[in-house]
Amino acid sequence: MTDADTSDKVSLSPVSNWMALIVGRTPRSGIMPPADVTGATLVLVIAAMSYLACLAFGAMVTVTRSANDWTAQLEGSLTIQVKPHAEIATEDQISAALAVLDDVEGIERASALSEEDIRALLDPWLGETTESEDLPLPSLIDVELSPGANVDMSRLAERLAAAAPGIELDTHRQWLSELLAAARSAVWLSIGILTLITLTTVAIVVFATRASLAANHESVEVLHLVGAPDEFVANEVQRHFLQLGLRGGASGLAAAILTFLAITWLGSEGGAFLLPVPGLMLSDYPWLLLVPASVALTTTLAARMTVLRVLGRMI
Amino acid sequence: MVRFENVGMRYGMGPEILRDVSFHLEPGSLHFLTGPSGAGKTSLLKLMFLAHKPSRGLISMFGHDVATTSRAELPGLRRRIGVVFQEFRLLEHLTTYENVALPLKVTGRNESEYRDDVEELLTWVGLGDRMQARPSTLSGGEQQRAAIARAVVGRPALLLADEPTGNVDPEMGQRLLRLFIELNRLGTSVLIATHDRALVDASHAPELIIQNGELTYRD
Ligand SMILES: Nc1ncnc2c1ncn2[C@@H]1O[C@H](COP(=O)(O)OP(=O)(O)OP(=O)(O)O)[C@@H](O)[C@H]1O
Ligand SMILES: [Mg+2]
Repeated sequence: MTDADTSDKVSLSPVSNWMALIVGRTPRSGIMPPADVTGATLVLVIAAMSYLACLAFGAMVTVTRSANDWTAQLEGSLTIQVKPHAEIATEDQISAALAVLDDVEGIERASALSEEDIRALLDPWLGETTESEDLPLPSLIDVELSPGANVDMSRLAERLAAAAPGIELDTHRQWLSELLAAARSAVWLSIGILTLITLTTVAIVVFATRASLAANHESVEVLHLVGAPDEFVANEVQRHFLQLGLRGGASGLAAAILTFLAITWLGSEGGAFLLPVPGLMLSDYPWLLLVPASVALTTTLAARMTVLRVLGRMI
Repeated sequence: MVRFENVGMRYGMGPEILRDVSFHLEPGSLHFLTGPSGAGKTSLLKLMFLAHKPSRGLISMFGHDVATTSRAELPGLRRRIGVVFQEFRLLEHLTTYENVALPLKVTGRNESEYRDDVEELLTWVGLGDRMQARPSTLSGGEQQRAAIARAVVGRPALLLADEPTGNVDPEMGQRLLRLFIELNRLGTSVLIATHDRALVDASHAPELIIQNGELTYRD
């Protein structure tokens, strides 16, 4: 029936076919009337929901990955701060510290950072520091632990402090745990937002399904009178909403991908955000497909349940 | 196969349209349903095709008491009943072919199984070249024939036709009556609500007459 339907029309070009898929002018395929205006509005709303969900999901993926990276990087490393001290030369402080470290089981490598290295580290925070050559800078010793090493940190700190004045052990623990707590909050926030988006989408679809059933009351009644079970009507309606959900989900995803690419691009330009935002990595993008998939699934299920509930209450 | 006992019917809180209606239709019978306009012919048919519940009395369809029939059982019962609605009730967004094929489609059957049957039937009622037309582009008589085709396409055990010849010329009216009689000979029980005396007189079938909410029987 569909072939004959279109036989008298000029066949659409692939481009306008594709456009039709987004805008919603696909050839009708079901029993329920085509969803013209309501359908287009609904696709727009679903697209917006899907876009927001992609952003929240992308943020969650980014934060989780960054937290894992930080943990991996920081867990295997220590920093020893050597503060300038009146009674002892910096070189002596450093060699005393290195001597202690040499003695400890589980340390892979320990080396003092050169002054240039330290300046490079501080540049982003202090600006170009070429003129403040005389500013006393702390020296740093970068320590790398061997994988799986179990070093007693408090004992190491004591020994370092005893070796020379002005030596402090920084295990990054404090900083890392604060960072991880912040990352966890961000993840929970994303989950909260995703939940809210899901609930909103369900509410909108329930509303739209009811409206669609009311608007197509005559069709639904005739279907029943010719012997259609509720299941049949539900299938017809849900197929229609699946299409809308897929269209909306795909449009939202496309917009979100553009946004993420823009963030990555701006991030690499530097200075767009306070923190360097890593953006999404190429390997993260496939995960985003989960969003339109769940949007379409949510839409379809919500429509189905609504139809069965509404029809079940009829005589 | 259809049994009414002391059935009363009203719309909402309105007056009783039908009072103490009792009759039964045997399998394979052919009856006419007559009465003045507004007497309640369509209302009586609504009770039979399970679109309305009686306010009192007992209705039994194919041995099922409709009062105790569950919602899940309705589609099965309705598939055994073909209805020609007075106002046709063709679905505007479907083609004539799709409208007529609807009772078969909702059973979940594959289109390839019934396509030929539907096309043959449409040709038989003179709509062979209007299959892809929308109902709104059909004439009144063409819509009526499409509605009849949809009612009989599923070979129902019971055919309820509400003014099936109201919009066609006498010749087409006789032709459609022959279709009903043919179906009846093949075993379908037929009930035709009509104003058309010529139709009634031409067939010598018994008549159910509704007047003032009451039903009388005339052989
Ligand atoms: N949905 C409805 N709600 C309220 N009253 C209705 C409804 N449908 C019909 N009626 C009333 O019930 C009565 C019987 O109507 P019905 O349609 O059964 O008559 P009919 O015999 O089929 O008439 P006609 O020959 O004109 O088709 C009429 O008085 C009508 O006004
Ligand atoms: Mg009537």
